[in-house]
Amino acid sequence: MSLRYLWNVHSQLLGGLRITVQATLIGMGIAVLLGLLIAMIRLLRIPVLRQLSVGWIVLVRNTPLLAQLFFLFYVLPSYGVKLNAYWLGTIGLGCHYSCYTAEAFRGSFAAVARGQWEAATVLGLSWRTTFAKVVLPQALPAVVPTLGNYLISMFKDSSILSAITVLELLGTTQALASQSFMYTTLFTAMGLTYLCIAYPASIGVRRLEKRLSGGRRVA
Amino acid sequence: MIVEPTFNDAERLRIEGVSKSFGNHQVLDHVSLDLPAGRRMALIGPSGSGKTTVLRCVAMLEMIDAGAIYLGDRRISVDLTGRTARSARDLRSIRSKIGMVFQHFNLFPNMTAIDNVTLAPVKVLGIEKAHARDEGLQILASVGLAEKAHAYPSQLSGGQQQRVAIARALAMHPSLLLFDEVTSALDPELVGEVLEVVRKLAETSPLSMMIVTHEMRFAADISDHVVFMEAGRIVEEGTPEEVLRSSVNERTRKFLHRIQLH
Repeated sequence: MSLRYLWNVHSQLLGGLRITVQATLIGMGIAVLLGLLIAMIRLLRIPVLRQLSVGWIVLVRNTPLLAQLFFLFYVLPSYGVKLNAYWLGTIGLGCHYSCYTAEAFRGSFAAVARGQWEAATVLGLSWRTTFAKVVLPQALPAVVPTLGNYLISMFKDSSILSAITVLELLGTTQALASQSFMYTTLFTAMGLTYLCIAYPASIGVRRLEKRLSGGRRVA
Repeated sequence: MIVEPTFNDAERLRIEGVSKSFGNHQVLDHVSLDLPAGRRMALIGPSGSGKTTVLRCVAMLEMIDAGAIYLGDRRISVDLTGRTARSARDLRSIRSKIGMVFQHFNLFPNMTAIDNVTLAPVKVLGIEKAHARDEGLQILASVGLAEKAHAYPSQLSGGQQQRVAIARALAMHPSLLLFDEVTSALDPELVGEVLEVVRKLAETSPLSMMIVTHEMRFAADISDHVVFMEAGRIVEEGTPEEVLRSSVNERTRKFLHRIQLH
């Protein structure tokens, strides 16, 4: 370990960490919105869109994330998609996780009692009002810890973006190491950085889960 | 069945030859009922006799296989042929005339009592929020829950929750209120307060009511027409006196005898 060397390159490493965090947060935004959309399509049983979303889930869940990123990175440009590696990677990460968030949302919607839908129906509430005011507020507390765990997984998986030339934390570390050969120092520091963020976050999620399930209001 | 003409046929409920099956199991077999405006009908019978399904068909929670249901001159039943399929808005406008109180209350647990009561008036009837709130508080007061307006359902007893559910249905100003075994899920000591609210409602409002209940004394007190159902068919109907006290029908007598043994 050479602390002096680390000090010399700390701004580059922090720059890489910033890209990692950005890609994770934006990817999470995509995963949540797309996952919610897919879950709603399946809840509403919208024809065509429903089959498409099932096909999408089969496709994404049964191929490796790295293969998906390579596909986006090497194939899309030849069809005129002009996005840089960072955006392709972030979108790829979000799309990949959308399948998992969709499943989480679907489960939490299914857990809302049928009587809730019936009471809303008898009152004449529209589907949109029922969903926004009755179903979603009851489903969200159950799904938040799951989303938190996916967020942490995404934070770690975002390191794969280095394979398509994105200089996030892992990519930056690799680039620095190939110049200075300070492998031990650099990769130890990198590992500790991931650990120092992911571990407290996982404790936070566990606490949140406890609080949400403890304070859950039952009909 | 002979029914005397009433002053307000626009809100008369007519059920004509309704049949309904779940898979191979026929739950309703040519059921016909007539409920003039302002009248109160009690549906009694053993579990699985189809009483609740009748209510659910009237509330449009179930599709029917055959027959028709009318509220006034408007056909409200949804059947499998899609002949009566109509716009969602039209459906909701008919629905707002029919209120329902469920066995398990089905209050929205994420809202306070007053928000449970005002949600539909604001969203469906388009009543201004402040106005709906004032009225909601009055209705809650009328079921004895003025001081619980800001409590969440989880903070209320079963009896209180059911009274909020009644208030929620009343806030839509229905002309017909359906009660589906509203005391069955309650602890015995809480049954009285709910029945009292329904009784008071029956005395003071011009609402039509259809009541599925296992409380025979309550059925006798509150209704002016009692229907005994068994295996999806109407076995006997008449005044509470005729059906509950002096029935000559063998099956009715057997059922009432069994109930009294409890």
